Amino acid sequence: MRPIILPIISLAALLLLWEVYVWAFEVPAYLLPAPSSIWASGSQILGAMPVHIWATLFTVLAGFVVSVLIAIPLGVLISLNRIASEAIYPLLVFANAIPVIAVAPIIVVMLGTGIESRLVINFLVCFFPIMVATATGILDTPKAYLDLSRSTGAGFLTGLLTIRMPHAVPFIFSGLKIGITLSVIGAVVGEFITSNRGLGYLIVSATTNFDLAQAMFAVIVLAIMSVILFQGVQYMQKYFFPWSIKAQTLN
Amino acid sequence: MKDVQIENVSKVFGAGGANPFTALKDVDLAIDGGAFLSLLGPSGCGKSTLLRCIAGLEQPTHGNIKVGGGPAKPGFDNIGLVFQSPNLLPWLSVLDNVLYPVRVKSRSLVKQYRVQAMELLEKVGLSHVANQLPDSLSGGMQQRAGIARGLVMDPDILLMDEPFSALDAMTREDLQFELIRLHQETGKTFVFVTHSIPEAVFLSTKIAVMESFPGRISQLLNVDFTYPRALDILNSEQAIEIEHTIRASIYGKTPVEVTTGEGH
Repeated sequence: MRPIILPIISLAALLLLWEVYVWAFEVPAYLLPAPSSIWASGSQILGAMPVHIWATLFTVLAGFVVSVLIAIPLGVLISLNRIASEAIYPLLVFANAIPVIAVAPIIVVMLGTGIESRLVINFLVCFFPIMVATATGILDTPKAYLDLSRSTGAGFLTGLLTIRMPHAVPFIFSGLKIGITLSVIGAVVGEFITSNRGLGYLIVSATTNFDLAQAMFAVIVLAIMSVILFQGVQYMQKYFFPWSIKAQTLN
Repeated sequence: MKDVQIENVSKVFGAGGANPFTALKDVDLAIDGGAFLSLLGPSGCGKSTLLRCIAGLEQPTHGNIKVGGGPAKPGFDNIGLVFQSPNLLPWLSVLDNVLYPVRVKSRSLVKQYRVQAMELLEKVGLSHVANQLPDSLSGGMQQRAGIARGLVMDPDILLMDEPFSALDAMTREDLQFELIRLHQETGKTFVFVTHSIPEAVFLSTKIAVMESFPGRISQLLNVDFTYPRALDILNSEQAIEIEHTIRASIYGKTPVEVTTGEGH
């Protein structure tokens, strides 16, 4: 119980301090809204929230799925094939080094203001850690496991499917956990640049009106979404690959 | 009938490179069907390399190895392999681990082999944990599962690479009895790598004593204790004689002495 109660108490204390500070020093709401006004502002737009949440969530999930579908095979490829790795890995490192926020406007010009741009932006943000985690897991396979599969006559593909891939599962999931969080960032960046709905859009439109309370409300919703998605990935690992949890200490 | 025929085998690692290492040199050995042969020697004598060559995991640089009349190659049904660490796959249940060699051969065979696998698990006392993950098992139980996996395709030859070296002394004795029992029951050929002299004497019908740098077989000894064997046989004159011969062969002709540091 204590690990649940303690953070709740410290959060409540922090909110109270914030509330009292704003009230005592009469800080204007366009500089720092009190928690109570954030809540008030949020409850006003509650009706519109599902549309924004769903828009962002869709970008997050679609972008994440696209990234996973590309990053995992790519990770397998660069870990197993030396030529492929030498040929494309430096390019991928370079692609990852580009600040996505800088290329996002360029992508929008190239691909338009539709979902495509947002998916590409999202992919650029979150494919790399998933790919590297996959490659690391594949390369980490103990030699003894490979000896076992070879001694039973397993060929390359069987070895990959029955030994290397399962061994990489916990590694891939640590990549996915980073990836899903980055995917939320990617979606918001995309919505900053081009969108007419979504939580990122809500933040931009609220701040142009100096409505900090509304913007902060959107940020809180985003953070909650991010935590739930992270826990969702965690849960999937626990459900489908329970054996892969034990070795890990952080979750 | 010879089950394994090793003719003039040499193995050089890094041949042609700057530091070639001769792991095995001119090894000749014939293993009779139904024998329990131990490859015994200090570390670096190439005993594990020789076993890996028989399993087809390494190719000899020179010479030939014939297993059951054909050349040694990986994936040969007639060979089972037991590893030093139990080497069970943590994502498969104990039963699925035992069935892994079958799964590699053909996915459609798995169902058919389930009965054999369960019987084997029963034989090594693990049927009650068949559906558990290997992580929940003790080291000794894991290695029992490893042995069951080696036997699942019903091979004529079981190769074991220091299978008990990671186990505590009591578990080790326990598994030694188990192994003798399995050998007697199945009549298979067991090839067992170890660096423990008493273990080799207790288990084997034949011991190939190996020497290092380069790895080669220096002596081939028969051990003909009757069955069932009890640990007492290690105190018999015959066993002491065999151990003495082995030590002389490994440490050189002068008997080993312990200096106590006290003057006499």
